[in-house]
Amino acid sequence: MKKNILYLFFHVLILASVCGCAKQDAYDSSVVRQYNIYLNGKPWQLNPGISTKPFFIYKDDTGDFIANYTSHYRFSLQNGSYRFVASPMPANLIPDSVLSTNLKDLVIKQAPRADQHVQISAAVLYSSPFEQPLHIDMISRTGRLRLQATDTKSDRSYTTVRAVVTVKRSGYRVIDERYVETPLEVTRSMATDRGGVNYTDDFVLFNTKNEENGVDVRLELLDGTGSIVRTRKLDAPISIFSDSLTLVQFGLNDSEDPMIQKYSVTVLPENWTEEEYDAEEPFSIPEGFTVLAPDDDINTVYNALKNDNEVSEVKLFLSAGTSYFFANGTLSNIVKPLHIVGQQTAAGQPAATLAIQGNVSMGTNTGTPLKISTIRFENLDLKPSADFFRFRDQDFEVDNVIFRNCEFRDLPATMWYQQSDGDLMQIIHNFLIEDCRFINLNLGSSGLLGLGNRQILPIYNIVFKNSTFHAKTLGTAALITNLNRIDRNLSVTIENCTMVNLAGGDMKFFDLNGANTDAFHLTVKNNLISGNADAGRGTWLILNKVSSRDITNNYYTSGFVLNNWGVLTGEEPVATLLPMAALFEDPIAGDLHIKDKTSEVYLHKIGDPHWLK
Amino acid sequence: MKHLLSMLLFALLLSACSDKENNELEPKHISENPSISTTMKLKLNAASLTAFAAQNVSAIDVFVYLGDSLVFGKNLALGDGNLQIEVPLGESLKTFAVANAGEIIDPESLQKVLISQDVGSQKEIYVSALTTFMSDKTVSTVNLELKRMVGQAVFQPVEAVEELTGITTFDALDVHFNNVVIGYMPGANRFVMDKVIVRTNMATGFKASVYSFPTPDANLGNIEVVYLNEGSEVNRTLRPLSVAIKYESSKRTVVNMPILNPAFLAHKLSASSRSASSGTSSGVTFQEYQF
Repeated sequence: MKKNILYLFFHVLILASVCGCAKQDAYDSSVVRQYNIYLNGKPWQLNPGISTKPFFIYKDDTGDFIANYTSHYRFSLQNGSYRFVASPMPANLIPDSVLSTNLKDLVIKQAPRADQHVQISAAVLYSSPFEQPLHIDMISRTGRLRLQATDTKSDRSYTTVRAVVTVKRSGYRVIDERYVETPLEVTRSMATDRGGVNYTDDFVLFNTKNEENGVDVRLELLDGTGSIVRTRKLDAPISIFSDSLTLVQFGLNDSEDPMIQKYSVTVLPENWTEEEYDAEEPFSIPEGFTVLAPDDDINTVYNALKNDNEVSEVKLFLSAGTSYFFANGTLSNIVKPLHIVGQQTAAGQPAATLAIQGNVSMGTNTGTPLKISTIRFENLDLKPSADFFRFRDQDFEVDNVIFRNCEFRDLPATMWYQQSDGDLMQIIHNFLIEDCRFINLNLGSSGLLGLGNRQILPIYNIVFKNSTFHAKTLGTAALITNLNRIDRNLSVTIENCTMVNLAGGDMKFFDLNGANTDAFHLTVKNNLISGNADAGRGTWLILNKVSSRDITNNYYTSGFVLNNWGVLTGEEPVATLLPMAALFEDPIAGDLHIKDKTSEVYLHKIGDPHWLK
Repeated sequence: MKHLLSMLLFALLLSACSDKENNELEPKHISENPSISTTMKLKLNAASLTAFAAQNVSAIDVFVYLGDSLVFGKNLALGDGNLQIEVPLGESLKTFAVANAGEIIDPESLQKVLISQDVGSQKEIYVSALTTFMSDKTVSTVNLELKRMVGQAVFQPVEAVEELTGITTFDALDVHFNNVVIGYMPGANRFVMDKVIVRTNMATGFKASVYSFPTPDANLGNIEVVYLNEGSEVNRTLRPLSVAIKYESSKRTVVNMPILNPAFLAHKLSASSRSASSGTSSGVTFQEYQF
């Protein structure tokens, strides 16, 4: 009996102590139950059935290691503040041998064989009662360097390539996400039985701080005895980017020069990269236009509309980002008004591309000009194969010729060339180039807009506005030429245009001779002129018989000096503070964005507004 | 006796021929001159092998050409990445390897060989660069790296699954991916483009995707959607969606479309049928749209 009482008392004591503990636990600990884990910003979760333990938990105040847990289950921690660290490859980065390391001392070292990617989060503060979900993003801290020989000719004097990669970062400190900036040499030897041909080696390295602090690469070429036959070195540091492959291609055997100066560096994403678009509601199409789907043949559609007597005007609407092609002859005989309009695009998105084989022409040869209200090209990347519009004895009278928001890159010849055997057989009332960019013009003996100078073939109103004329060669042909036979009233407006001639020499920008006019109204304002100039050569404007003029507020880039601006005193363009190379982003390539936002060009909105954005 | 020996020899030759693996292509040069062939190692780098493990790819197609003619073409098990190929000795040869292709067309000619997608363009294809090597005695290994050559376009509805659950006016979508690059000719460096139609339904969340070789020119991809009910077209997008997809290796382009938004569709909704009728079933709220 006594024994039973003692036994009972003992069990009650145990029960009491257990209850006491349970109560104390309930009071002192909280459960971590909700995690949002990301890998480089994208949701990540542990695959079921895997025993990986991505979480490392440390005391916030002391940095002491507390636990290494899986994210499969909830777990409880004593109430308090903690630092959570997560990695999708925990056993590699923080192996058991360093598991208990204090967070303050925890450094992920550059893998000696350079074969270990480092993906690890910051040390995220997370405090009890853990009611808000834990957000933790594991970030790639390494990228891959690939050294690749491009040789096709082998060099049998060596049998091994030893790559010595000197990194500036030897480790990554988890607590403050900083790198240990101590240089370290990573070395790897690779046998080559083809004397360097096909040599390829990969190194997984911490991403580099900046271009100057990239990794240095030295290649030691060893013979069969291990002696160095030759050493070659890349002449500049190579940058390593997280989650990317930096491919460096070079010739090992192309030179005895110890410094490799000819090599290419390409950065490629290692994993899938992602772009996301939200489809927008279908764009509005101007009334009466026929929409061409990407796989529609524009020649078939155009000819059907052209030959349809019920259709008074041909109106085509082209999809952005799509290429269309007019075959030779399709547009050689326009007989009715023509509107070809591309879908408007946001900045950086490709416009509809329209390639045209052969010349465009219109009209009859009957002596009675064909009357057409409008020829219009808008929102297009235009690629003519030759002279764009070229007329030889066709008779027409057009109210409006409009080019708006179009790009012409590498136009192979002239844009508009008139020729006829009789006066007034080719008449244009209004000719507008607005918000267009001509890049890499290569004008020979014909002007960009050239009229016949033997007969009266007038364009009565010419407007160049908010546009760019960037010429590799301008010569004396000029952007507008042969106006001298135009009768009656002539108006020319050149406003907010950027004009660049890279060729230098005898250039002529505009030949505006109104000798045969009754009145000639000229406006030239807010333009920017630039390029390469030779002292004592070149003319901006050739003017004759101007009856009213407004030539104001024009600028040229510092250093661009022509022999003759061709204007009156007080009308000369003003020099900018900066020369061409400093003012424009890349004038040679035709990127004329204004770099200096404090320049007078930017502040006074001079030149093509396209480049002021 | 002599006659018997000749017959025996002929029988032996026949049996040797019949031992050839079914998946082996006809390497002309080797069979013409078997005495001067050599065996070389083909080594795939670690990056390729890791990618294949993730893709469950266990074998690759290897092709070797002398001039324009195929001299070796086999489907080889990957193993540890060290493969063996038998090629004519003392020749300058060209090789490439392919994993996970839908089909290899005209492999006999380097200029004509076409790596093609399967129907529906669902293959994540890996291709090596076309590599030139000499098959002399001093060279024993050719290193190849197979890289994922395709990009991907993914179409997905904006609407949540709950919103789509009660739809009765269409039961499937044909997603037309225009300008998908479905074939690549490594010898000629040319690409083959086509439209790919992928049918999707509620079971797949009305999502659809294709893989494509890189877009070689300005003909960018886009998407049109045809709505089907019991196999018949009931509606379609007004025009191709305003997206321009440039396929690049390892680039995934996700296109989100509100598939229930009538503004996108060719057949507009009438004012009365535009509003959704809704109801609940088993606690799930659903909306039913009349197209």
